[in-house]
Amino acid sequence: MLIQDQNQNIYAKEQVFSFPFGIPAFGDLVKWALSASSQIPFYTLRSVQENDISFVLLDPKSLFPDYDPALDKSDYSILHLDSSEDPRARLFCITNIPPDGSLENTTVNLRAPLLFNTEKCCAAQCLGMNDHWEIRHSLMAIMQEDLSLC
Amino acid sequence: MLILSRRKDERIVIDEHIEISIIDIKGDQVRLGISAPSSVKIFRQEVFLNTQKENEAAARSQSRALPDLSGLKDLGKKEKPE
Repeated sequence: MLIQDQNQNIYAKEQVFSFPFGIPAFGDLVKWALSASSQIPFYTLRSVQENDISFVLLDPKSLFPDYDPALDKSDYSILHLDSSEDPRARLFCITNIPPDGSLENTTVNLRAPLLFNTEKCCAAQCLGMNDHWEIRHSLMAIMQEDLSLC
Repeated sequence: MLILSRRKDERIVIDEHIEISIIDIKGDQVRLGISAPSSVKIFRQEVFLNTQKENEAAARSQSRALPDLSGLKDLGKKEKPE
């Protein structure tokens, strides 16, 4: 199914990615479908195998272009990417939205982003080794561009 | 679980392509060197567990609503309507 976004771009509703290592806590789930959600800047990553399991992702660079999780070389090579400069590389971060859906209590995992190879359609979660970034960084703080918290 | 004792500079080989070396031992801290093919992911256990825990908390049913962003004045580069 094709959809059209506000910039008149037409693209496939979902793109399936292979996660050869699964996602931690969901190690058996290796096929996930990525799609833009109804609300910018959120994306949905839905398990193809367990239909009701999904994550809400954020494109960190859409909020602050300087986001650099300083991933290891092996994080890239494992997905057949040359480096962080590889144009096929794309990062997304998992958000943690509380049951009440409140923005105030929504956090983003900036420490362990998901790295995607958009050409080969494979991806993995990178378990950031440095403590510089938070596992639960306040989304509100990012959106208000409070970079002093990073 | 296989339990082995090794001294400094001794090694362990796993599955032919993975090698663990005891680089140094200082008090209660052991420094390990691990060589493995790039297809093998290696991490500290507590880092993996923390990520697992956070993913479990973040995973959700598709039917849940997304946060309402209408209160914020802008979203980085994008203009937000009032």
